[in-house]
Amino acid sequence: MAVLDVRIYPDPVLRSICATVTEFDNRLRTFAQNLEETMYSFPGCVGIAAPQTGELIRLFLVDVSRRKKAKFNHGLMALVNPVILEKEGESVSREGCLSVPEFTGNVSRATRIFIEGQDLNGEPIAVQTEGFEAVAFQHEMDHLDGIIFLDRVRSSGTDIFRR
Amino acid sequence: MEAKAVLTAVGKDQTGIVAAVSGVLYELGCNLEGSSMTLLQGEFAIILILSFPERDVMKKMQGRINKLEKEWGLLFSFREVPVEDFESTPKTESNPYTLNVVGVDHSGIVHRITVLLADLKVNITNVNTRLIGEGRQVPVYVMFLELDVPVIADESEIQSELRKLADELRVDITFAPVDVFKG
Ligand SMILES: [Zn+2]
Repeated sequence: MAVLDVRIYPDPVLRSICATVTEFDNRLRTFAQNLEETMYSFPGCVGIAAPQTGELIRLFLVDVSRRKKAKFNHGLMALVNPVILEKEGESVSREGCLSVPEFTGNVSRATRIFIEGQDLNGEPIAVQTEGFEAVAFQHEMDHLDGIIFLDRVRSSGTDIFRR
Repeated sequence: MEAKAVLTAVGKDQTGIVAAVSGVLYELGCNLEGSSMTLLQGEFAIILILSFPERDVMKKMQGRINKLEKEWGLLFSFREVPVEDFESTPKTESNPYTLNVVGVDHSGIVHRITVLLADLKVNITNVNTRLIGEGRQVPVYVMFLELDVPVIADESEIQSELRKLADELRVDITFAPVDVFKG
């Protein structure tokens, strides 16, 4: 296992569309293990996408279990070739990104999502989740399409009052 | 030698103010490192952190500012800040929180709450207050604060002190951590 280098914006890999995973082999699983170790090496980090380490494939990890306030929590999940099939509701929360250090901003995301994909062995999986975990899935999903949260920031801080 | 400065401006809002100010900075080859602007009841306020590739360039600023003041009727302040002050600012480790206050308006709400926060070593990073329903019999006061709470602070102590104060002021106070997603 190894901690991988995390690419920092404006590294062009963060703007690339990732390729569908077709080979569910040991190479993929080893990479996922390294990705996991990389995610846990950052305090407070609850998700990471393959392209953030320069690997342009449709794979991300999410683990919100260490956030005690996260009500919906499936533990550590590796999702390959994910597709968000349903989105419902809208809420704003504060996001930051390993690839955009020292900045956080308010982003609007769907409150509830239904997401399908494959696990590291190619078996189909489906997840229905809400709240903080749903934010995590949507943030990581964006990375696979070259979108970073800065593209979606509504306001850097409080913006409750209509001006 | 690089030099840094803080520029602020306040005045009546007019279309084109930001373009006029940023135009001057651009002409002087000055970099805009950060800015924050807001409007309140038609009043404009902006704060800018500027960096100059050479200290000499900074001396040209005052003349340009005087011109902008006349043209736009704004009130400016301009002050050099030693570069070291930006870099060596000791940042105590802290977590973001929000504090919302809602209640019937009466004098002293802001003062009492902010004094308590200062006593608890909590730093205020953003303030927004409004009176809603003005002209109605009972105007409602709302305040939204963003706070930096030192990691060593006792969250439950802050919570209970705020609750006591809320009872005394007869307002509702909600103090909650901002759950920052990171990935
Ligand atoms: Zn990210």
